[in-house]
Amino acid sequence: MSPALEAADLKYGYRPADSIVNGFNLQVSEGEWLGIVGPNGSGKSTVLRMLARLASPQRGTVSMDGRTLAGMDSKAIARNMTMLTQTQEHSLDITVRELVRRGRNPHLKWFEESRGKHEEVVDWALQVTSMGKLQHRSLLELSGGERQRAWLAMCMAQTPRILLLDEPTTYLDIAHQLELMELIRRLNREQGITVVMVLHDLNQAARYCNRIVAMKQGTIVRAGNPSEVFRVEFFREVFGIEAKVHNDDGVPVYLPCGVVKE
Amino acid sequence: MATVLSGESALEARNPRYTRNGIFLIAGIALLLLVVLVGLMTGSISIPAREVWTALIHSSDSEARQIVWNLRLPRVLTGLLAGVCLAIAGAFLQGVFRNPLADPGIIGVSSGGGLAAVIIMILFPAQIAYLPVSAFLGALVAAAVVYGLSWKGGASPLRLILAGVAVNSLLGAAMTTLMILNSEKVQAVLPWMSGSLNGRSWPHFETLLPYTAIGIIASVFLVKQANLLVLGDDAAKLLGSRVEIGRLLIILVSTFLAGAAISIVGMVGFVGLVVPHIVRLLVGNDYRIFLPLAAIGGGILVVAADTAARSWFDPIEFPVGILLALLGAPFFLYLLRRGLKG
Repeated sequence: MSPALEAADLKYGYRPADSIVNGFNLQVSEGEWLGIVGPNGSGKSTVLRMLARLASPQRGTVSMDGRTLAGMDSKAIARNMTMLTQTQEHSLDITVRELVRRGRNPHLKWFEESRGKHEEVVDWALQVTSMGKLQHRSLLELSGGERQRAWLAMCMAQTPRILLLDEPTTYLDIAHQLELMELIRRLNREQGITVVMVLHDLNQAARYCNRIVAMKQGTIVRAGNPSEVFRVEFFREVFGIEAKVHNDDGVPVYLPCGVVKE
Repeated sequence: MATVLSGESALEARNPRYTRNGIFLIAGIALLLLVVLVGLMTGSISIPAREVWTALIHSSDSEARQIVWNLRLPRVLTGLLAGVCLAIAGAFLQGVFRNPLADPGIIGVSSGGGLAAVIIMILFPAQIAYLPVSAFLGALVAAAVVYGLSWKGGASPLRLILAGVAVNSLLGAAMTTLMILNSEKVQAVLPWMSGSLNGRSWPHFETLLPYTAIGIIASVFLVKQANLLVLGDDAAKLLGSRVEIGRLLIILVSTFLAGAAISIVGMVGFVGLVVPHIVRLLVGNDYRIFLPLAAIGGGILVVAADTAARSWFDPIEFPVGILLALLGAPFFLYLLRRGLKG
């Protein structure tokens, strides 16, 4: 069986000489939760954008279930895969429900409005993200965490099999960060949604992801399950920090101690 | 998370905004009818509402019939259509550019149409009959140039705005040069440059009507696309929308509508900027209500302003565009400040 999502030999750069991503290969299996980590400028967000077809690679292909994205209809891709971007339009005055209804777009013909069973999916997406009570509020009235959940609800209304997330917890406080991660864990486990997430917080990556891919200078330097990847040498080589790694019931937890001295 | 795990009560199906939007829509239409009526009553000779009504439905040789039917009605209706066109164009462009300062001027419509009109009025005054068609074509060409210049594997809103600024200043400079070199003829150009409904009659209305109708029908089909584009290019693309085609179509329809309007009434600048703003503060960004209300608002504003412009300064007929800016700008600033606090 073809992997749910596959990247083959991706290359991307603003100028041919210096590439942000080079020789990137990745296979994501159905139902897994993959975390992409790496220092700033390692190309992880660019990789995610290429996976989501928001950026076109200069070389290489992205395929979903063995079919290259470049040859697929955009709506067909959108029925199967979507992404929660890091930042969203912040001045939109529409209700949460109106936003979430737009998630049905890939399932509708160009003249069709969301109604009937599509509205039931919208109800479900609102409930699963606990946005039901806020559905008639304007996006402008929401807190940062609620707004993030509203956009996630729109993603869920697309009923994707693959969900990409670009540092979704960056602007959230710790409680909202964990709330979001727990929500995604439920979507991953109960709905079987394949998750690919770029994440800054390495301890959260270790706790929630099945598999970690670490990037540096545009290519993968480590890959494996969290306990295989998160070792003292990894923090030294990839992030340039000295760290202590503890084991908390099988989950590695790291404690940064300082920058590596040359 | 507890609320999710325990399940939520059934969702309220009805959006409370729908009721509110319905009220705005009815109030808007009522206000539009009112300003049209006042526009027909007002002028150097006041005609009471009852006589206006009689003059509208009964053909006769009475003076009231002459004034209402032959002078005021075509002028009011031409202003109404122009306002509708400009407001729809502005509402669309502010959405696809995701920029509150976008208006039909930003893509070169006003400066392109303006230059073409000034060329006709100053260099070929004998061909004045071709002024509307030249202004319309000038607007289309300028918008096409702006779009072409901004294209680089896609036309991003930022590059479109920058290309628009550059093209606008170039065309503006050409217009000013023409006017300085022919300063004795500038007097004739000025009312057109500020936008005026003086002397607009049935032929003007009949020219503008089909363009407005085609533009409005096309707009209806673009509402869904506009609702996706306001979410941002990335979000629209992730929802399966063909962003570049959608944006091009919306710019095309906006150019068509705004170009048609300015070719008939001149460079009325303020409507396309301020009306969408006011309407958005009232009803938000959902184009299904935002666009029709903006259209109604554009009609109301131009008809009301023109009625004021021709009655307050009697016997001088003041260009409506200037009055719009004089009254509209302070009102707009007031709304903005209020909007920011709320």
